[in-house]
Amino acid sequence: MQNKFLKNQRGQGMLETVMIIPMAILFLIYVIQFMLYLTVELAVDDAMESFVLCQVQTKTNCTKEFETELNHLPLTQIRYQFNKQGTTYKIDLESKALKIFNFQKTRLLSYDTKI
Amino acid sequence: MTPKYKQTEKGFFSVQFLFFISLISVTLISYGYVFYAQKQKDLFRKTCYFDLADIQKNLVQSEKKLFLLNPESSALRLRLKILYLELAFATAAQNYALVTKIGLDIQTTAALQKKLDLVQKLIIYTADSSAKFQLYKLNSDLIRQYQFEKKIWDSLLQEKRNFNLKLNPVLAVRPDSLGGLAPNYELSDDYQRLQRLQLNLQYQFSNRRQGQTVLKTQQTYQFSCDVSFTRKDQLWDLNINQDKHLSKL
Repeated sequence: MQNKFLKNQRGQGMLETVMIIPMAILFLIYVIQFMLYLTVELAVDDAMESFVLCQVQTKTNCTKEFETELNHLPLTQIRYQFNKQGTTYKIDLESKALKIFNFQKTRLLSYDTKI
Repeated sequence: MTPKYKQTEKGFFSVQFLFFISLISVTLISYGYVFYAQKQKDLFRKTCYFDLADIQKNLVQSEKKLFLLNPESSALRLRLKILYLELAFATAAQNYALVTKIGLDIQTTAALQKKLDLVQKLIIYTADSSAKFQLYKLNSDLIRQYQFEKKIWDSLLQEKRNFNLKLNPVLAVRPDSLGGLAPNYELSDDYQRLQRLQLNLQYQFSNRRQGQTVLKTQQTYQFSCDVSFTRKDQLWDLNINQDKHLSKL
């Protein structure tokens, strides 16, 4: 019994290295990738909101700034549409983040600058 | 040598486990802070686009209310002028009964003017003090929220938020050139500057001093927002100007 136990113990480190480390690395890669995706989503949200609020301020360079901001992010296949009807501002955006995650977002703001 | 080797082997899994757990914890905490920082930005935007805009709208509503009294003020001025002319004619004609009557009318009109003047001043005073009250309240809300939220990250981060909220806006109106009691009111020449509501926020965070030996993180953001208005004929429009600067210390 004592001998068997020792054998097991000797192989334990190797077994852990072979099984657990790759699994942990894969898990970490996935977690990091997912977190990156969430960060990108957060940044896109922020960019969309900035764009809509920029439109509220009736600035002229909103589109350019928005596109520059999106270009800094790991996004592909970006499609967006902006509509303004009266005091309602709406932007729809569809894109692929990190070449894996597809997402679709809408930002709607009703804001009246008339007093 | 052998016992030492065995001891290390036994703790191998524990060390691995602890390493990954701490790595994941640090990642999650950092990530949580990203969300928290984003929330601060949202809060600033909300303050700028809604709270300050509401205060500015209230000020403009008071101005509109004040300007609505201008026709009444002009009518009283005109009536007083006519009455003084009539008084001069009646005195010249030595019609003392009429002089007395006109004298009474002048007194009544002057009393009305005085009343109107009080109403106008009350509108101005109420608008000014109401805006100041709302701004002080907003300022204390922002500081209270900061004091509360600071505690959440206190063990991990040093966070500083410096709010600079302009607390003394004035209702940018002035009496017209004729002046006197119950004048007509109009917007001051530099009404945008006088009535501008402004909020600057310097947001700075760094990891705690003990952690700075391993990793030093210091970041400063400056947010600025001002809310004013423009008037073109009968159109009153809010002007919002928001900006952000990032600087590394």
